[in-house]
Amino acid sequence: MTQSVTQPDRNAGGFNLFGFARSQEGVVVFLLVALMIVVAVFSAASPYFFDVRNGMNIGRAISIIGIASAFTTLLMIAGGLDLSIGAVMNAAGVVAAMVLTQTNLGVGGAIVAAVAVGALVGWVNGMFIAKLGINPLIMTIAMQFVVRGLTLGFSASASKVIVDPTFLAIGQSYFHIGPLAIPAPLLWMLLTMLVLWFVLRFTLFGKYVYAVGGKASACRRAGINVNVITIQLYMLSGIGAALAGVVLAAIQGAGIPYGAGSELSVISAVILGGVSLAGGIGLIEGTLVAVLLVGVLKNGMTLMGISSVFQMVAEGLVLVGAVTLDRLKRRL
Amino acid sequence: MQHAETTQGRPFLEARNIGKRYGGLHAVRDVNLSIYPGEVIGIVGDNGAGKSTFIKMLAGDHEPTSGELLIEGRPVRFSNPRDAKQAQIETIYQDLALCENLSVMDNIFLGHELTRNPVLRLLQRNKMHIESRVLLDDLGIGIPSTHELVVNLSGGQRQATALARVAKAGAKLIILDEPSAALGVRETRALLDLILRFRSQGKSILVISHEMRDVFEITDRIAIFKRGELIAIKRTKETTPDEIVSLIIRGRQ
Amino acid sequence: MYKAAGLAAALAVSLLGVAPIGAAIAQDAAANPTLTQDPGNPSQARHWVTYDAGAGAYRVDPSASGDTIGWSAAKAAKAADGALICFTAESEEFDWDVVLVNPSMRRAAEAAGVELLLLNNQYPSTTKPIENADICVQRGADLVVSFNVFSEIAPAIMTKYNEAKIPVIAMDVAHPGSVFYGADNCKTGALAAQFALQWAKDKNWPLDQLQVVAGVDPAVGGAPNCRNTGFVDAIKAAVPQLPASNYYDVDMRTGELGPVAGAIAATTDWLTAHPDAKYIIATSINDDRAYGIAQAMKQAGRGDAAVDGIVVGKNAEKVALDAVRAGDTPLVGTVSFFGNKYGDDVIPLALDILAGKPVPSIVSVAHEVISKANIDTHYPQ
Repeated sequence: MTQSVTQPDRNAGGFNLFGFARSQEGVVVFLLVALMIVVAVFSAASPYFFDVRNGMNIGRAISIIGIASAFTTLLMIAGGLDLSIGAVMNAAGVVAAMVLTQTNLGVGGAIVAAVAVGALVGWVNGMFIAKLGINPLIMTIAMQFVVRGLTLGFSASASKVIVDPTFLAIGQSYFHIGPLAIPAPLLWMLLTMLVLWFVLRFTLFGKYVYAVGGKASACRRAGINVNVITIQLYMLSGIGAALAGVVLAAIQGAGIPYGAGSELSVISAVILGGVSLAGGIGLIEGTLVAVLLVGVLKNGMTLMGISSVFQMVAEGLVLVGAVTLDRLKRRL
Repeated sequence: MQHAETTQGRPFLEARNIGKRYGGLHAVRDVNLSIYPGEVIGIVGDNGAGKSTFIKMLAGDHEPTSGELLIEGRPVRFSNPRDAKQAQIETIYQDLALCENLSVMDNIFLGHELTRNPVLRLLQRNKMHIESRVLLDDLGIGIPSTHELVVNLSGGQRQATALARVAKAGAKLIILDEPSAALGVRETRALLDLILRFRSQGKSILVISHEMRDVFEITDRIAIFKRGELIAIKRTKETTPDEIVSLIIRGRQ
Repeated sequence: MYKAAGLAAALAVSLLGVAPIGAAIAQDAAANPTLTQDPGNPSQARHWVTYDAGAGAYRVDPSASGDTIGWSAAKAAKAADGALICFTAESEEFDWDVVLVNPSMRRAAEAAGVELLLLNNQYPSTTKPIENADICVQRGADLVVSFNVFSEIAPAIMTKYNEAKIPVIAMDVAHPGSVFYGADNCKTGALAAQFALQWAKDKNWPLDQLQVVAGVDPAVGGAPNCRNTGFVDAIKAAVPQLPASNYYDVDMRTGELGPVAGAIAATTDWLTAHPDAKYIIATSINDDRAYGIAQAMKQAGRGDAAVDGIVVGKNAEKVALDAVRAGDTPLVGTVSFFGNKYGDDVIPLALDILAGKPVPSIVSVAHEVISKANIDTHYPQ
């Protein structure tokens, strides 16, 4: 069999450093190293940084973006994109709050209703994108407007305060493990990531996520129902945003219809984590480390008293740096 | 119209007066062809002669507008590729339809993955790697590792992966569209050997090719298309490349 | 099935029923009036309170007596060594914060020799104020000045401070359990209405033909809405004969192009729809939008403050002060609550709380309409 000279073969030549640097696992290791450097720098620069409670604060601060980005990771690996998630988060929070205050369905009912809203929005997105071939960017921006408008309309632009202690516990309680007090939202994020990591790594659905992102036409030829997978992924994206919205409402103590949309933070974290915009490549581990890295950067700069104006610039530069490295390493 | 329907036994697939019309234009008209188990048929013809449209009807990509298809004597209708796959017809187009971001094993099992637990549908990776290895060895395909990503493979290795996949899927008829177009000499040789091995396993093979040398080396019969019609079917042993070229160009000897 | 898994996870969340820490702080509203006070209500009683560090709550101080107006920043306690005040600023983006409030806080803290940690609440984020509360607690702040305008998340914020037993001064929007300092949104509306009606009378406008325009933003929640509703209510009370059809809410939410552009576009449309409207008295929640209204009137050729109408803004932001001083637009007044002086009150108030001295549960800023008549007194060039 011929071996092309430019095509490295991992098994032929043992460990291949360049090959590893290009692989999706390599991205995660690179991000981990970057994270450790950033942690070391902040630990040296601020006496308040390297501290368990501060770590928990970071965990809670990243949890909402983390939950949504885990689901977005799956969608983007499959080559999709969902810009309606920020609007769905707000909608889910408002719906949960309205169910809690205006019905007696309780916390379970509130969460189910919120998740149903997310699933419905995702289904509409998925149907238009998969069946009619509408560009995901356009479709989900359109849905963002629709959902935002409906949310403001249904809520009469008024926030719905939540007093139910069980619901608030979703966002405000702690789990005590030894001396550690882990904020509940952080735990939800880690659980979400664990479940989706498992799905992506060990299940048939996970395999199809990569396959559809690699070459949808090949999947169709192989008899895989790509449309169904696509619709399921957009529904999952909506459900993920709704779950994030539920936790957000519990943290805020209110369903707020007009919060700033967080979809771009989510998508940039996923890309930073090594998911290719073209699809087919990425790992949940990468998203987790990327979300951590962004959270640590924000927290550390805040503790150091760096103006948030510069923090915004820094966030942008980190993303530019990541995608630049991604381009460069392909030339290795 | 000339026919050389002298092959023995019952055909695996039979096309009767099959045709495809787009508006007033006949892309393919009244094609009659029987394909028998264990034979390799070459399909030749100029660009626009209707070869691609014909195989796409067999592959379920296009639905015929006239005529009928029979599989082992039973009439069938293919309205999408899944129908054709169910009839054990597998097609390999020039783009090979491989997911380059996945491993050789993933591509071999794509759409036919082995799983356990009907709810979670967990992948049985080890089992699939072992089966892939056995399959590759059986077919004499030289790919060192089933873990290798397709993006890192050579053109011939990719072609072999695509063929291993259709073999795995249990195809009885394999349709190949210009399989050697992007291959070097040694890789083409390996491909032809592989096709002959499939034939010896009793599979039917339909090959579209411009390479007259390849066609004469591996086919049992050659079907010549011109202007949407099947103008001749020749036994490979009883014809010459000159005759075939003449038919392709002028429509007669 | 993946959907089912997500659903199951969500249900598990709801069924776990984890006891919220600090969600329920049993406190007696009678002993701690800051829990229920409503600074926007003119008849709201004001109490002297001190911070009980042991209980982590304010308590009515019976030892203090007399009118709470008697509290004076000039007589405040001195800063203790190493005291840290955490100030969660509304933003580091908008004029009101960047030019007025935040510098006044920094200046006053420096003058008093107290350390000030300024964190950006990044208005309109509804999550950042909560994250910043965690940081203030973690940094071990001795007192927090919370400038969070979303009243709906105030309980979530206060839960954290109460747990950590940190006294809080809430700026502009009441946080239950904190001392309030700030503007009275409803009062700014009423003052603007008073000023507008006086202008109409001076110009001999027929009061029953006034066109009352409020530039509203459905995306701005809670208390700031009273800057509009207070205006409308005051006019309704003063001019009962004015028909309801002469009141208009014009949607001026911030679009992609920002609040001024949004206000200009919305007002232009309103003027187009009401080609004969004269005697317009307009207001909005801030000066960006008031300025936009005035610009639209001027650009439509209907910007003569003597006949067409006037706009009264809020906040005394630079755009409005310049317009008032120039006098060439219908923007003839803006209600100031002197954001540039917030720090001069709040830092001494914080020092008194830290020193255990009694302070009023509600400290209101001064409000005044800035017009051509008094602009040089308050804002000399």
